[in-house]
Amino acid sequence: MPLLEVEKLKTYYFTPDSVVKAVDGVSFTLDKGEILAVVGESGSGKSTLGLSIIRLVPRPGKIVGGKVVFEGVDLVSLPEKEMCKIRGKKISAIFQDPLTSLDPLMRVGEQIVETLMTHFDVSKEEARERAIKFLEMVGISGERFYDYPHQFSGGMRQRAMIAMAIATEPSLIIADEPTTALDVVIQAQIMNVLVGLRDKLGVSVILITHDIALAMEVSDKMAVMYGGHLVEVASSEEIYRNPLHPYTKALLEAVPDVEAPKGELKYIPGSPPDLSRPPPGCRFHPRCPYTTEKCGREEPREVWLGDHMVKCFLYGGGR
Amino acid sequence: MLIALLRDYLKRRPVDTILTLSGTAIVALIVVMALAAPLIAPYDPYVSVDEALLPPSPKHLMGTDNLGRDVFSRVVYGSQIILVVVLTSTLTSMAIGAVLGLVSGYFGGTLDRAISVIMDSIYAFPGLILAIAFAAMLGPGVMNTMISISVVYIPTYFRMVRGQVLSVKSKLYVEAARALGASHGRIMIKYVLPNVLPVLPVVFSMNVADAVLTEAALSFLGVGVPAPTPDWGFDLKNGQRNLLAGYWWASTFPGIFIVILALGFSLLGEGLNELVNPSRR
Amino acid sequence: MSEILRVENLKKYFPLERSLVEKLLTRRHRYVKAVDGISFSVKRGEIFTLAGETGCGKTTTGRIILRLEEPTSGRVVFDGEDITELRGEELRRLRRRIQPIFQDPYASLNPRMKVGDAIRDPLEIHGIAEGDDARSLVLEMLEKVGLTPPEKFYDLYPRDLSGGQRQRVAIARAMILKPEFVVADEPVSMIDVSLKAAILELMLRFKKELGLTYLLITHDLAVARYVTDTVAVMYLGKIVEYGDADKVFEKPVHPYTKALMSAIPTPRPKRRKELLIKGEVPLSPIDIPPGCRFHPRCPYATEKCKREEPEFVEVGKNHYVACWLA
Repeated sequence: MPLLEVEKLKTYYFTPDSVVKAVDGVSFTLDKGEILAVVGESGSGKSTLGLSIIRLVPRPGKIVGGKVVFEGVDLVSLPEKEMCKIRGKKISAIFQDPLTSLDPLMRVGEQIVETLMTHFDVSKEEARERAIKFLEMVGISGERFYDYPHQFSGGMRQRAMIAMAIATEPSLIIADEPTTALDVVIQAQIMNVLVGLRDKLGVSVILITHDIALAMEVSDKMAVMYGGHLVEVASSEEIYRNPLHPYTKALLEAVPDVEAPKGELKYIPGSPPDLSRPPPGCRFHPRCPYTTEKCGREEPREVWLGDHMVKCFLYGGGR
Repeated sequence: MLIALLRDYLKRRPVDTILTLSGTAIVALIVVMALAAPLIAPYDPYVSVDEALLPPSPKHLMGTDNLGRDVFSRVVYGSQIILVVVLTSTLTSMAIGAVLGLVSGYFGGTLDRAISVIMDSIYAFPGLILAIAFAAMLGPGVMNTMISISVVYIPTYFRMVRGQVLSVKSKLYVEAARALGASHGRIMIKYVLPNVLPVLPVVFSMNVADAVLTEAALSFLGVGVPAPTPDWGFDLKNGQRNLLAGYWWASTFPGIFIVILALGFSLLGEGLNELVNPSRR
Repeated sequence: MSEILRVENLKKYFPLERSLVEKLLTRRHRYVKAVDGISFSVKRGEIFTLAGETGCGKTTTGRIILRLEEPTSGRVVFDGEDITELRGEELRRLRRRIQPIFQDPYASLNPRMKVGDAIRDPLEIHGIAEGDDARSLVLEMLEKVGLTPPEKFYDLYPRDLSGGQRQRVAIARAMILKPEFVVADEPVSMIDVSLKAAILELMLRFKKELGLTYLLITHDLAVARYVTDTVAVMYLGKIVEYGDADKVFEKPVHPYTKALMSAIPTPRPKRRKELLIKGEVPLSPIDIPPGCRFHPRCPYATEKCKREEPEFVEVGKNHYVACWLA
């Protein structure tokens, strides 16, 4: 049984002027020990997807449909009290800016201890030992247990966040742009930590990012998101060898590759869709080089070619 | 379009919108009263038209004062005086304070320190005391009252504007203007000032509320607008001595209007503040 | 090709605020040595990249060249003229020839100025055109940067535009003066991947039309690789490697450049990173260790590296490295 099964998830934001359909019918599965990268640009809805899984969607957003089945239980219909037991314990999240996620007035080690003592019945001494163990697992020396967040560099803070996230030994970590604000060398270190955790502890990771190169290097499976929809899901090898959706293809051609000699860099004309007024039919059709009349009328359905999902009329998907 | 905006605000922030609208209504009412004074007031406010201290009646809606003048007419004409004095002085304060704040904040350095010290000293004084001191020094009179009041509020605008200027000064678009070759003057007027101005209207209306009370106080103490000019503060004082004898109308009506006007500006200011800078719950 | 810009031993130290105790007890000042003695030369018509991570000093260098910052010591020579000390009218005339493009299109435009007025302002500042003439020049420029119909965009405010559109406005504003040299500080870092190439292409088109020279400042070596002719890699205020872009990217010599190149993600599946670097980035370039400043993190550091600062060695035609191991 997969660890996580998301079925036709819909999360909308209800603002006074309009309804923003940030996540509009998203489905995918995640196995134990798998790293899934949700790749999308600004306005794709990927962050909302992450927040929806852990049910932290801020007002005026609401999950309006679909299921998020985690270890057999649908999280969407779970009462908040039960959800609190899962959040932070079985599913942890790390966000982009560790400076605002860590309490500046509390020592780093103590914050981990507090998390542990909230979720488990352990003594302070035990919690401290475990905290140090996890800090070292992310490459932070145990001596720094007593430091304050401002004494850590950005990369260290993010690693401390990861330590806090894994201290409860969750089955799933949702990481939303965890390294966007960090330098590339630190980013590599942190990605190594996450992959290492998957290897050692069997933790599954959902990595939400706009960096396709990063996603491809680190993940087992990739889900490409555009305009609130998942347009393609496949293993990263498959996406590399055989990208199907026109958006995925165009995106891969737009990514500058530091190892390729000066070549041609493409871009996608137009701009991302306004999620409060998405285009009719396929969300990508206004910018698609293969668009047909049908694409502007009907929304394509999901087409499965083996383990490779694509949402495009070019591959069937019609009625 | 304005209606649509109002409806939207009413939906989203009903309490604040109602506050602002009430405040605006009150102020508007008083302004209309001032503008239409010759039409509304039945009598000449300077002249004795009847017996002294007559109670309110259909002939004299608010009764007469100790000199036989119609209180209602004095209240109506009084609105002119108070509005003119208060608006002129606060606008003057704003102009002077804003210019000083802009220049001081933009150039910084010793100039800034010097001006700030002076402003802080004025600011440290309790406003009313300072106004009284100035008014006493200058003597009674409408002009002098305006001067006294404006001095008190200059530091308020100075600080507000300077604070905003300091924050805007370091923004990237100001640097971009520098890189374009824009002169200091151009940067101050085209790039800094427009981004500083939005903060002013809110401060202004709250300020005016305060100025209303200050003006009334000055006249009450006899160092503001002198007799026989119809002034709410003055009349408040004037009617006071007959209060204990039971002749309440000469004092009370002007007093009520002082409160109403101050309240109106306050509501307007606070409501506007909440709408423009909503505080998170 | 002739040289258009030369930077000579440029240094910029930012003094640290001293506590009262420090002020009383010592005369020693501490500095953030943002730029600590760099020299390089840019040829007319080329794209030269200053690359490096946060805190390396590349942005400060750019700001000094733009005369938005005064150097602590060193010279900047532009078109044969020492511009380090220019003031007043001469500085203003210089500004016409050197223009910036900034990283954040949301912050580099005056929120209270219409798009058209923002692009028009430089024309008025330098007395190039006024009134209707200015307006038509602006409309022409809006057309050129792809903001059509230009009349519509003229009256919009920055808040009505997307990030990519705002960056186009910023570019229009810079290009309308027909500068000779453009300092682009992370011009596409805040632009979505699918649109980066569009902005870069726009910049390249202007380069061709106006015969521009670009100084590109970025941490994104992938983007740099796509456009640049020459690259200089900076670390903690100094240049550690520079030369022809192809050579430096293809065969990096300095351990830091190698580590940087290996850390950058490439769109290829399942590559685990072998990190050729250890330790943390110093929180800020304050107390810089003696010798080669990279030695605390260098896996190959020797005794000499810890003592003496390396000098530049030529390791190939137009390829220089500052490392004792080269």
